[in-house]
Amino acid sequence: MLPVIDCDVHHTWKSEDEVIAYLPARWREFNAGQVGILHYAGTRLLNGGGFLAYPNNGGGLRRPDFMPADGTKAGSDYPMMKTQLLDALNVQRAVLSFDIGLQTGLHNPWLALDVVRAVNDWNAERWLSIPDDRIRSAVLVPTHLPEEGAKEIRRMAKNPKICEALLVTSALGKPFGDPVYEPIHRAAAECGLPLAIHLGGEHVGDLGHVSAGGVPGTRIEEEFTNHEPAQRHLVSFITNGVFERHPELKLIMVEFSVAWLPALIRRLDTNVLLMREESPWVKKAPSEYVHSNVRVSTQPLETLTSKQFRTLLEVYPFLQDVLLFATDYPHFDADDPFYITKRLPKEWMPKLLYKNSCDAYGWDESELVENAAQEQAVGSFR
Amino acid sequence: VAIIDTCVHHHWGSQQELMEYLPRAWRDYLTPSADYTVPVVPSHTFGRISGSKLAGAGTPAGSDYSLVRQQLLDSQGVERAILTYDTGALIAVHPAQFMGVELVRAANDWCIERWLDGPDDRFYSLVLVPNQLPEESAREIRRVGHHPRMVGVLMGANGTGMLSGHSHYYPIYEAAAELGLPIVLEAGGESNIYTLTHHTAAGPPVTYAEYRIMADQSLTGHLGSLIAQGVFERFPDLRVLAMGAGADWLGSVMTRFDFKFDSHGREIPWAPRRPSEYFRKSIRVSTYPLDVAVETEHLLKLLQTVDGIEDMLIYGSGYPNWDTEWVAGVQQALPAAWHEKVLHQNAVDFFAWGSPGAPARSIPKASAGVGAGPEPSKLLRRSE
Repeated sequence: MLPVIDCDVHHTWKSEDEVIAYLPARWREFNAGQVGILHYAGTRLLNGGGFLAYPNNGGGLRRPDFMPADGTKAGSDYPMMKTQLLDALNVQRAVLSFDIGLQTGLHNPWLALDVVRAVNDWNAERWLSIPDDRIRSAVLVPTHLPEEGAKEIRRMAKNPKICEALLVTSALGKPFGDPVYEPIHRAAAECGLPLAIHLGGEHVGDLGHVSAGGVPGTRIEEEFTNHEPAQRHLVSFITNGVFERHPELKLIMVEFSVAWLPALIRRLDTNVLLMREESPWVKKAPSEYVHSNVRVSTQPLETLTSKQFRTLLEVYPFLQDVLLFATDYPHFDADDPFYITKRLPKEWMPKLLYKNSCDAYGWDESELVENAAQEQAVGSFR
Repeated sequence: VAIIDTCVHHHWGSQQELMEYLPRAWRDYLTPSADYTVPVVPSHTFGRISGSKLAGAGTPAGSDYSLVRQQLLDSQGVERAILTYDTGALIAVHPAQFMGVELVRAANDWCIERWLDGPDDRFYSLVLVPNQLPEESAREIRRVGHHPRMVGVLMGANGTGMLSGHSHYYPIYEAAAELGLPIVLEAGGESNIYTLTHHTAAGPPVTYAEYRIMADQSLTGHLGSLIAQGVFERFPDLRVLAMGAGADWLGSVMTRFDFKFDSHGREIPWAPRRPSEYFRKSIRVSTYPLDVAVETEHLLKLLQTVDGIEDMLIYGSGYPNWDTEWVAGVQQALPAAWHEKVLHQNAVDFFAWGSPGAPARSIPKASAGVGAGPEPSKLLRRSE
């Protein structure tokens, strides 16, 4: 049986109080007032539910069957996650990536910094202490103050269960490859952690827009275009030469789907000479940087018919080295390994399901293969 | 193949040339002293630093009537060419809105008198509209849209900060549909100092290369908005040409839209068909710029992810931009079986065109005469 690595699982708190307990006294007192964090931002931002720019979000983001019976939030209950995800799908490693880290988008830089630190502390004590070796997680990176972001990466990287540095909202309104974020690039590279960018960071209504051309008028328009931030961030890493400065750094694009990738790769390669007019540090063909440094999570995989989708992906066969499997548990559009294996070339599966992730996160795959051999067959959510 | 070039950037020789068509009061206002003219074209944010126009195409490029005839029409064997403006189209979003309307009127009159009514009957053009004022736009379409050489409506740039599906634009679509004129959306409409929406998500581009690589992003948003807001149901005869960002992105966008429609379609009961159906029926994409000379194999593979792509592409050279794509290059890159469609027939169908030299579409009934209508069109179900 192939082991499965799930690089996008959303975990959260049962109540905001769990995180508020880790805040400095100043903010706890602020929160106690009528215009405190809970009142002003709590249930929206602290909870990561600040999808204000998702119009019609009321349709539900979490699968009802993934919500705990006590009425708390989906993804807040380890035993449930263990049963529904880790055990059921033969997951050998799950990267917990919050729900979804929009605390980085709190507009006050000092509040954002303290809240992000509290979230990281909460994560270490409440989840990373669980004696389950399948659990890994991210350090959430505060982005208003890149030097502080770098410090936070270095602080949390000491925990052996931290496997990536997670970027969500670009608080400075610039794409994440911008040189203003170099302290964060350097810290991640020096700590040997991939940088992950998760979909949704632009949804807090900051300077970087959620879509080009205007605000989406409906949820479906937002869905049509929510790959656009991924393109912008990825292009900025290449034009700014981040991978020349940090050749070992991996960039993981999470939950942006994948159909947008082949055309972008061609557009990057066709414009390489033009790019060098302003960005002479772009030494290689951009597709080579994508192949060596960029990884893209598969979910939600835009398959209509598997034939049509394969035609699109097989424009660049090296994409089999780029894609990482993810479920997005416990969200409504979660994918499972069964879904993937039915729709993509069978011979890509070892790479997609675990080999590429082991490479990106620096994990020894033989141990995972050994563990997986004892497990049951591949399962599915349905 | 009788070449139809749907993307030719013409421009006035100087702002003085345009201002001859402005009311006297605005002309005086914009000329406060003999040695100074207030510039009216909003500055465009991005250009190629080593030169954004073909060398030897005039000063400014695309402003010399006889040079355009010679360099483009004669040399390329172009049977019909659609003049689509260069940065001049950006006056449509001039924030001094009422002067903006006058500027747009002046541009249309300039275009008709200096280009369309000239001796060469191969030139056609688009009605520029001040889209921030939809009623004024509709009036302008009805004022000059009957000119036999006006074949469509050019949105210019984004004058409102809203996507194209918003009901704000209905008067424009209504007038266009009434006259049988398609809408042309040009990439780059978010990149001028007066448009606050962005050319890309997650922060605007920083370099021209980034601007060019992601030129499809705002077009994607506008097309998605037109589809999801039900514009093609409300105006079933409306056609839209997305121009200036090539087409290698089309397969991924159509895939993505259909995939998202399958899970979220119930949000938009007024647009019940799968997005790819609206694309095939009502949307066409300009070839300019496909970058045919490089990465050609990947280009073809990407294009071929769309079944029937050869029915959706319409040739445009982009002359006189630095990345002009001449006919031979496009012919060399695309399969021979596509040439007739891409270089000629798709444009004829999309613009509901008759024979060469003839008006682009049926003139209103009174003067058209029985049986003088356009050739049957795949796209257009004409009410008359």
